[in-house]
Amino acid sequence: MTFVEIPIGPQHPALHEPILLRLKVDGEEVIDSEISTGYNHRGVEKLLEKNTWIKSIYISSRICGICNAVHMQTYVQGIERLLGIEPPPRANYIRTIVMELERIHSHMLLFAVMAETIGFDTLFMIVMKDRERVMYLKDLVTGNRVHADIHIIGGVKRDIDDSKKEVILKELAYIEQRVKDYKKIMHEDYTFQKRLVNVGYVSRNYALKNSLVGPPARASGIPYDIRALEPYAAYSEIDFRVVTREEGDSWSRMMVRLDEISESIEIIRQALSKLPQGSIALKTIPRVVKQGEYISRVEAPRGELIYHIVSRGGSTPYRVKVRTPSFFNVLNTEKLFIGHKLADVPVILVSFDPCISCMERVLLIEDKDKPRYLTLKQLSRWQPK
Amino acid sequence: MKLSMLKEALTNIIKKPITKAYPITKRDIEIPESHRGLHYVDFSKCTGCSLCAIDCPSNAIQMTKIELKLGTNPKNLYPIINYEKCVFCCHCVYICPVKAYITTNNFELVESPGTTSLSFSMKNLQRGEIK
Repeated sequence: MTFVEIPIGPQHPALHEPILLRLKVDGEEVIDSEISTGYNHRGVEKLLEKNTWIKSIYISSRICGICNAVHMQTYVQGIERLLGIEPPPRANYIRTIVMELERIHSHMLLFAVMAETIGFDTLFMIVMKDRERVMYLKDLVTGNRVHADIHIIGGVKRDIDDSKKEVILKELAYIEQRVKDYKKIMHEDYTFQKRLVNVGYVSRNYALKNSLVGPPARASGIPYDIRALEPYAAYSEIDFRVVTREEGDSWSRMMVRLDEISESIEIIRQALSKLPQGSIALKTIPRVVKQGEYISRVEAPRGELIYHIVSRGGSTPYRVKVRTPSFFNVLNTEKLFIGHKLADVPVILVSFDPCISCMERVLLIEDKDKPRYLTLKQLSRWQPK
Repeated sequence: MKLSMLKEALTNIIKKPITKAYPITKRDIEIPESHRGLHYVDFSKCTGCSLCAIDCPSNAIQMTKIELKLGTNPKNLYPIINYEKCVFCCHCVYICPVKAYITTNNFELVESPGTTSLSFSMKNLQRGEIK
């Protein structure tokens, strides 16, 4: 059989981050594909080990620009469990509000990027303009548009007063209206219907077998959401719905995200109305963590985020393993491109919300006899004997 | 929705460009009061405990000996922030036991290389002494 091999990436206008897709195409149809990663190693895990517990909180939030508060929550939550302390309830509610604001702007960014990928640039501009309002809210609550840096061991650093509350509620009402409009576009618009419906179908079985997490799993009918399964922060006291859809294509993955924005707005409203009185942080910040290990799980905008924190006592962590949601979601898109047109490849990849630079880890596992190197892809398919 | 989008697209054709020649014309975007911008130390409050320098995640704060003899700082050690290294997490502001840090929402920090908080802190101190 004759085919042409087309490399896309690591630097390519259709991709926003460095990843290499090796596609074998017969005419316009993709017949085989392979994903190579490893272009963006930053050595964050080593950096976390080298710094003290307090310094490493700020480094962990720099792993991902978009989901920084979620990374911080996961790490701080793990440290708090190791120490056996619990933050005050008001701090938990403020953390929840910040994380949900982050989820809203993350999903809006992806919706805008998707609009740009399918060639709908007007919508891209309009969504980014609306997203700026959410960024303003984050600036108002945390002090920065992007990096929240609001967590501290045993609480949060900033409080929400009544004037801020009013602004948040006012802006959220606007965003809610706009999200309804976006959903209408998704249902009615010709471009979206043509480019997204029945593209990149993921069956429930495929999602379960390959451990997909976050919106891609929920779009295939798996109600897997850490906020509901293992409530952290203030989620146990808030009523919300885990959004799932049955279709499993790119369109349903985008719709799950838009529905989640509406759900997040509802969560923020509830959290603001239930906001308990009291202090926002413990009086002293512990600097030494006793021996132990903890696996901390949080639902990031892209899916389940895991931190494995090991402490051997002392002022620095012994080991911090970070597993970001894109790890499974991106690497398992490989077989989904097959049978689709070449132009559908970026659409399928974007519908999984890839965050390559958070995901990149280089690993070395030593055997008894000789050292053995495993790439991320081999590791994701590695099974114990 | 299609109509409202069309309206927005058409009005944007008639409108002037939204981009500004930045340093010449200032942007009119509102910045919240609580924005984490430029911060420096009030030398008259600092006790020289060095907590901020110990905890700084980017090692941007250096404790420097300045002979001011204000009485509050027995070792005459004062924190000086290197803004080129600073990540503006404001941990120093939070951790300070005497709340000696002065915060502003000023984000226009383009200065000559090697700008530190020393000049801001000294200016603030002089203003205080005049009072």
